[in-house]
Amino acid sequence: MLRRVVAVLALAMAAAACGSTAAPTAGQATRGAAAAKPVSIKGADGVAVELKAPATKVVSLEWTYTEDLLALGVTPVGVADVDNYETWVTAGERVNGRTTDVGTRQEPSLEKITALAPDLIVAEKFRVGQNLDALKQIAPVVVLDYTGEGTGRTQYAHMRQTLKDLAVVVGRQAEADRVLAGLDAKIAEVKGRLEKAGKAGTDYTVTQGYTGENAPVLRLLADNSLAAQVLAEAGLKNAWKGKGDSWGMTETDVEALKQVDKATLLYVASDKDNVFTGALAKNPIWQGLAFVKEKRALPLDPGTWLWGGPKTTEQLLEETAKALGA
Amino acid sequence: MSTATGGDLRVPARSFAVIGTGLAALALLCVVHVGQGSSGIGLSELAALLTGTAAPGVSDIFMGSRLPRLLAGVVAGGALGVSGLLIQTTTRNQAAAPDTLGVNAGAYLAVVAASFAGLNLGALPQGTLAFAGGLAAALLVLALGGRDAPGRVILAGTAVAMALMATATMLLMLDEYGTRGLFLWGSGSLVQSDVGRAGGLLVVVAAAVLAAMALARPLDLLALGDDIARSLGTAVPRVRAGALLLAIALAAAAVTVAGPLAFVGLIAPVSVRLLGLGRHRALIPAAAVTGMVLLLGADTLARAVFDPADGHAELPAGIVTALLGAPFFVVLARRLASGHVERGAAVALPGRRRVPYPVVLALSFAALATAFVLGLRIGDVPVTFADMLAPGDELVRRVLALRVPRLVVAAVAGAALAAAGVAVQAVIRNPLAEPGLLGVTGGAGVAAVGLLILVPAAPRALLPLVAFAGALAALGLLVAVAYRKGSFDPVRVVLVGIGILAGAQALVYFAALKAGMALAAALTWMSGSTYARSSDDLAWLALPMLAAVLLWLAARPLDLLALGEDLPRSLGLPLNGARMAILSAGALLAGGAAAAVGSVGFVGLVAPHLARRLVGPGHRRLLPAAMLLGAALVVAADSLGRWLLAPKELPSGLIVALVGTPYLIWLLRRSR
Repeated sequence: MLRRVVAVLALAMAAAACGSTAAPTAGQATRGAAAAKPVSIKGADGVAVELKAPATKVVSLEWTYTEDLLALGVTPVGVADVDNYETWVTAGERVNGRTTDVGTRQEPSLEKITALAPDLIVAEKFRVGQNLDALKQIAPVVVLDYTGEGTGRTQYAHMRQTLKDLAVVVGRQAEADRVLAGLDAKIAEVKGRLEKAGKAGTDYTVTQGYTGENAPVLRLLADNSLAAQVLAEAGLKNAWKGKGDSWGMTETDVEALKQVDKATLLYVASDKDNVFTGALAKNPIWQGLAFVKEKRALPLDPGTWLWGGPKTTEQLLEETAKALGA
Repeated sequence: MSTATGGDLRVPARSFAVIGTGLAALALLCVVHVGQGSSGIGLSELAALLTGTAAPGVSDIFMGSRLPRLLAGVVAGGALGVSGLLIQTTTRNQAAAPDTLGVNAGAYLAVVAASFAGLNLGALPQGTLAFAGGLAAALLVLALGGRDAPGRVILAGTAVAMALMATATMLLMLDEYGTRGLFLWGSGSLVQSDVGRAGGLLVVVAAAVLAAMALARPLDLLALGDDIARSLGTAVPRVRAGALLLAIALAAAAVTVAGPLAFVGLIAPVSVRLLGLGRHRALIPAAAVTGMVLLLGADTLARAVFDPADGHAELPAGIVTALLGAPFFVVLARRLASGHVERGAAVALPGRRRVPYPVVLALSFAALATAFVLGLRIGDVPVTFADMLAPGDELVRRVLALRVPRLVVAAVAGAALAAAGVAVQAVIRNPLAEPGLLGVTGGAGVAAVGLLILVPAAPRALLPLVAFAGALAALGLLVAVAYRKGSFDPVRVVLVGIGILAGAQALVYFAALKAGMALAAALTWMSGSTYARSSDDLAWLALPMLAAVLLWLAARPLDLLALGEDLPRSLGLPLNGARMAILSAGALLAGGAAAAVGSVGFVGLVAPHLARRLVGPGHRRLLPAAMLLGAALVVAADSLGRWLLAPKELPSGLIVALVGTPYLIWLLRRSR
């Protein structure tokens, strides 16, 4: 009986969050009263956004920030590219059915966003440009930069900082601390499991693969990537020493794996386009790689996103530990 | 074609020298090429394979990566070289090639469409499909271009190729994966997943080349002219059809292996002719070897600059061949086009059914108004017709405040593009000449991307300004190169423009690859989009609109240009000056539109042509009608793009291109 009441309440809350003209619910009102003091956040473009009160109706135009907001307990009223988010980012809460899809991340629908009447829009620096002015007409826009370039922080440290910054502006600092503590605990836990299983210090390479125009493309994660940095925290060693781009990845082909085939391969591929069991399995280079022959090419969950926030990072740790048998 | 007929007694010795040198270069390139790769395994390790002392795994690297890629270069390069040669001989057109005739694009579209439909085909079925696509495109282009006007055929081919590539892009976008990878698709690349594809098509290509060799003698005769060939007993139509089919099969094989590679099929045959070869017995193997050298050379260069062993992403070989080939094509076009001033360009207009001018204006205006009102109606937030007259709701008011400016920008940009088309067509005397085809918009793209790379911190507002400057610069280059021997040959202008366009596109791709995702904003802008446009963007169109008014006032000189060279001159028109002024106005219009909405093609083709059919060729009437229709077209495209996949938006540029394709085909049927 109690579960049914909770479910009904949750549905009602979700409906209230979706309807743009709905009156504020009791929950929102008390939250607003508790934190009705001005908040501010400084964007990666140097522009500070000041709000009279923490934002409750947020539109997220990039997956990472969608995940951050969900982790903080804020369901965005609008999310860009919901379908692909559900496919590629399986950590954390689901958004499908609880939010409004506002279109692509590159060209989100300004009309949909206007209709949602948000009090904050969270955007990614490399995608906004043409639409920044128009978005600012709708609501205050905070422009964040996943890469953290110019901040002097590693991508992992930058991810943590971004979560904290966002927490301020939605009035959820306590949640941010809890989430980050949870992440720290997860790192410690996985580290312990790996040590116990004798896998501490394992050399690994982590990659995402997909079908390019004629052949499989592999994104190998370099030391400047969030994934490599967090796995280092858990005591693993990244074998890939190639140059990473701003997102910490090297886009290359199967040959490159020859450089790291003494290590363990951790790979992510979508179920619909699994190059590791498809095209690569027939390739003599792949067949001859040490980690293939010695069965050290290990799949992670297809929904492990490698460029995400705290929850995908926990998922990466858990998936890695499981793959390594820890 | 003097070089083609210039076979003399020295030919055999020279042939051996050319082919021998080519083979030596090819052998050298093969060695360097095979030593490149992301594993960093180099020649010394590979050489150990020969002595059986290689480290474990080295033979896998060779079989799984190096050999397939090398073979792809040999198969595609050889196929394109011979294909281009056969096309040039049968059309007697030195600028004709599988890419400039749209064969590559047709084949590529067929391949993309098959994969869009979820068909996972092997090399041979896919090749067959590519053949069908290439054949259809070639027939279309040859039907449109006619045989005796080399410039016209190339223009038709490039227009068809652009339309087909736009369709392929559309399919790829609908399939939506990672936009970053997709952007470089369709450039042509030697990446292979295994040896099967290139290996399988090697057999097909070898057979087709042998078949071409069997035609060597009749092809020699064909090169002398249809009449001579016929009098010497050649079955001209049969030889021509056979050679053309072989050429298309070869191009289709190349596309199946490596995608639509630019210019290889053009440069290889022209080079061997320039080296003095004349007989097809020698030309065919020489063109094949030259094609291989070009393609493998381009790939080797690409991987030397972006060393994969250092973790650089792939630079498609097709971008290198385009970068190298574009200047070559421009120089070739400069040589080729002269001498066709009078008969070169004009496509006969189909019988006009004139409608009274006021009626046309009224109808065009009604079309624009309808498109505009529907554009106000369509969108993610429902807006009723009553709302438009008296927006009561705050949300409706805000949504209309988003829709109105972007529709106005779309309308004015459409009008500017149509006027640009009218101006350019008046000078070039060809209804297919379109500012986008002449590289004017391409120049805008290069400038915009250049700004983002050189000055990443530059304010976004500078982007359109720089794009505008780029468009003008491209036109300046076009004029400087195409103005030759005191005259301004219209066909030459078009061909040089096509070369500039190809070079500009390759530069943009190159820059995009180098700068990575930072260019996402520029790339959406360049796909030709009315997304998020505001009344600020109208500023870019103020000066162009002034140019349109001036063009309208100068309707009489515009009319005179249609009469060719001599008549206007005798009537006292300073011909070159007038052409320059009108082309500049066209560039201003196209550049302004590019600054406001990015690269939207085909409006300058469709709108003027439609207007011409309705009101006839007089520019005083043509210009307003074309501008109204252009405005209606872009407004309609904007609305469709917002509606089809809402809340996702399709760029208006793509929608217009999709409308432009069937129109082009229809136009072609009419002008036969």
